[in-house]
Amino acid sequence: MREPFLRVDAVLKEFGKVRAVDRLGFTVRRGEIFAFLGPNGAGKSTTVRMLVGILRPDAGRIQYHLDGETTDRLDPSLLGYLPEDRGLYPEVPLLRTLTYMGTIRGMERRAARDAAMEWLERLGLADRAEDKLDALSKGNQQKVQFIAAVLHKPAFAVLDEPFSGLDPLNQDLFLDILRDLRDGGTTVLLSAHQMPLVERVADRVLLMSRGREVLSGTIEDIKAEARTSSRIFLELAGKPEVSSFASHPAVAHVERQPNGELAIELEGETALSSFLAAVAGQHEIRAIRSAEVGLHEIFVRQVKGDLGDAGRADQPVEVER
Amino acid sequence: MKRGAMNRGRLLWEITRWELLRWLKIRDLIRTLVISSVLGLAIWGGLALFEKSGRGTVRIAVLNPEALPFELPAESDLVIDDSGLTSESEAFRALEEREIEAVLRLESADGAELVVTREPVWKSDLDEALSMARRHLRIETSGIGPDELADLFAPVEVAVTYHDSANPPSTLAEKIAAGVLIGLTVLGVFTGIAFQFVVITGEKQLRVTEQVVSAITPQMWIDGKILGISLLAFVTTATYVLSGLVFVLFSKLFGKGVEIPGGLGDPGLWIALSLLAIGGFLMWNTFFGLIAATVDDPNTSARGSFMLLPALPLIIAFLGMARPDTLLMRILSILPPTSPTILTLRLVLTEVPWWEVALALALMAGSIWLLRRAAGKVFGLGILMYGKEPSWRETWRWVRESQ
Repeated sequence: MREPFLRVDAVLKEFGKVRAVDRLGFTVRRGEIFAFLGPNGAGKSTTVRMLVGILRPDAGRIQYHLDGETTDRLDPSLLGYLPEDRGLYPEVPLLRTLTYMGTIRGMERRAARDAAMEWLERLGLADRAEDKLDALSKGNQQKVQFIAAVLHKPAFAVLDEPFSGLDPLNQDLFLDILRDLRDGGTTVLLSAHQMPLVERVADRVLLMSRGREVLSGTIEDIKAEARTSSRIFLELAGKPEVSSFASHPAVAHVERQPNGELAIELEGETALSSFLAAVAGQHEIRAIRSAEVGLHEIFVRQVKGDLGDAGRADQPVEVER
Repeated sequence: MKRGAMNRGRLLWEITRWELLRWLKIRDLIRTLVISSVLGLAIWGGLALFEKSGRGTVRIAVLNPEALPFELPAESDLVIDDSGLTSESEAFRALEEREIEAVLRLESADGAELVVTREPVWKSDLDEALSMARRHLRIETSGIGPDELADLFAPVEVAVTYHDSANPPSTLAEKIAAGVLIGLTVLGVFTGIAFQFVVITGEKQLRVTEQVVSAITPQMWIDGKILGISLLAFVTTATYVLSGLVFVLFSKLFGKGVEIPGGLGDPGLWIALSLLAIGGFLMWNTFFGLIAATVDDPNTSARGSFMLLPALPLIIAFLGMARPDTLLMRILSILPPTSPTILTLRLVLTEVPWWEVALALALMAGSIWLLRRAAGKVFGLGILMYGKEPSWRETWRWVRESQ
């Protein structure tokens, strides 16, 4: 197991009566990709802002471990940060902006310029180096913003919603880049909504809701903890009622799909053959296919469970005093 | 835990350089210089050319000269034709053939007709000569001698003597020079604060702040902004000064020239003026860094009206121009924020003891330092505050906490 790079211990942050982060604790290990998941208002960005030193926690502790030293604030040259609120200088050519962003992270001007050109080439923007930012598409602006966060080869890259605004091809490109960063020794912490992408790249995830941890661990751990198994899709003759399956002891969750299929999630220990035999005894099965339960479903179910039936994902926690 | 801990001085220079070069448009400055050169050439050269082309002898024929005998002054370009054009027909033939410029037909001592082929720009000379001749004629007929007449209309002469001959009053040229210099200082201040306001509120609105603040401290950032924008204001003002010099140079080349007071040749004066201008830029840019960081939306915020504040010292300076050595003016020339303009005014118009200049610069340096610390704290909190403006009470609390 890799050694810890970042330890967050019972961190708490309140804005007026709203508790944005509620005694959150987790550890990020050196050289891993660690993902924050959570609905809007879960406290992800507030946590990220505390990690990069923009906000101070009201309570708790944030500690970085590097080269045998422990500190509560990382030197800016070691940190790369892609904020949730995007924005660079629209009237300045890309290369100049990126060179400047590199120099304020401790790079020499020439080295920053060279690194910026390398990144622009990698992301297909080399021929736009002298263009102004506002001449680029939203996706390309996103790429430039990303370069600004990583061109100085940070030891720790904090990326808030790195996939937003990207098309599927560029999302794949970014996944490769994140893996390359990790393989190059950068510890990556990302916060994202795109569960399938996170599932493909993250070593470990932490699911947050209303400022608190709901689930954490590797994808496999989380799936195991969520006690989910395979899911089957059945096309039955006569379209029987969903309720007639919901009461079945082997069924954890059932819902009708827009195409009329029933999506049935079975309890972990249920034998698929006996369940199918029971269904076949009562209904005519026309088609059957199976799929694994993804992070998205786990996310939705866990957050709904955390909030309760009446809860809203983006509703913050109000502090009683 | 530092890997590439950057020298603070170099980092400050990188930020200053960025803020300066982001807005400095060398092409625009060169354009300003070229335009002022062209304007200087056009105005002064044109005037000289016009004067030159307008000169030359203007010949006029006088019909019936006995009605009002008159003489033209020797320095006048007008000449009475003496080629014997006594008849009206000959005179008009000569006029048609451009041998003469005009025909003056004298009817009596009280009236005449002037016939010309183009506008008689010289007519005032003729009017004066005729009026003079008519006056003499009337005096002769009235029996009053010229000496008596002169005595009758002689004004009372009041001699002005200045008691303090070591500190004579300002000349008009000195007042104009002082006005131009404080105008340039205030122009530089307005240039700086306008950029400072636009830069900071723009960065807030563009959400640039988080990425930068995670890399550098707010104090370092605002320091770089203050230096960069002040440098920009100084370069812009220096360009205006240079443009003015080009204009004056052309005025000297083509004409009598704009009068430059002798005192402006003192290098010590220019050093003091430059220090005052730079101090003024730094002070106001620091203050507006603080104000701009508290503004959420520059389009709707009432705090933009603070930009009128630097006009106050300018108004005071112009009001006090007639009496630059009063106690109030001396105090205002020492205290910031009025010292950059009032002391500039006094340095050009009057004698200022060296210690007053030194004290004014020291007080300004101290106030910039204190303001900078407060601006750093307010900037650090204000730039990350979106969606609302902190109240003045809240802002003051931030400032107090910074101490």
